[in-house]
Amino acid sequence: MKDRLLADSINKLLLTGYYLLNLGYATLMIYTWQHVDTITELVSSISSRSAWIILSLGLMHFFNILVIYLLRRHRHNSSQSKT
Amino acid sequence: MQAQADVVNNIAQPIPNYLLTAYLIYLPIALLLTFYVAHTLFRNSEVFMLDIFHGKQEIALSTNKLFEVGFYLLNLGFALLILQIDVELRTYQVMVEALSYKVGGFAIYLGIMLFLNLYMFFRGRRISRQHQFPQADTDIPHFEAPIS
Repeated sequence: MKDRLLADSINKLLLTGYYLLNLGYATLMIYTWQHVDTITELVSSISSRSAWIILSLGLMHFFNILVIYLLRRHRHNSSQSKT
Repeated sequence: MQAQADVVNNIAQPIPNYLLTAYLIYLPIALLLTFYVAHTLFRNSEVFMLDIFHGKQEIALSTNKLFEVGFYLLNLGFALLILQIDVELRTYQVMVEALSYKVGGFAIYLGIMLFLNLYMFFRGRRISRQHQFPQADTDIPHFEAPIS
């Protein structure tokens, strides 16, 4: 029961973190977007902006998987050493 | 006089550039290639995951899904990141050359990622089997005890 509460709260924290990252990135982009004159520039600038956010989300995702794996292994080890 | 000025302006301005055409060809190719590779890889990796997690279906499938999302994010991000072409594409020949360079490079990158993933699946399977066997070894004396 305690574990479930902890997991839920961590989940909520992670969700908030992702929201903050994305909203912050969106706001930042509004300030720093260069002047777009042609459709070609539109396509290339949209793709580069989305590329950075998608790449950083992907890296964060793999980091999360790593953290979950490490937590699980840590718990597994500590429960083994107790018995 | 006006027509002459227009001609001069046209010459002074950047002449037909096939950059947009190149982008519009590159984008669908890169995106479809990513979807195809990720779909194929992670439909077939379910078997590996089930083996790694000793047939625990829930955790195997959810891990598979997590890695699939990560794979999509990384590769789509990379595909969009290398979209920019700095050369001015005056003729179709230059455009095709630039396009094939981009698409070829991206395909090689995708292939490397695919084999990296395959290697990780095989490695995970080997490690999970190594963890399984010591337990089996400790069980053996237990079974042999009645015989001796």
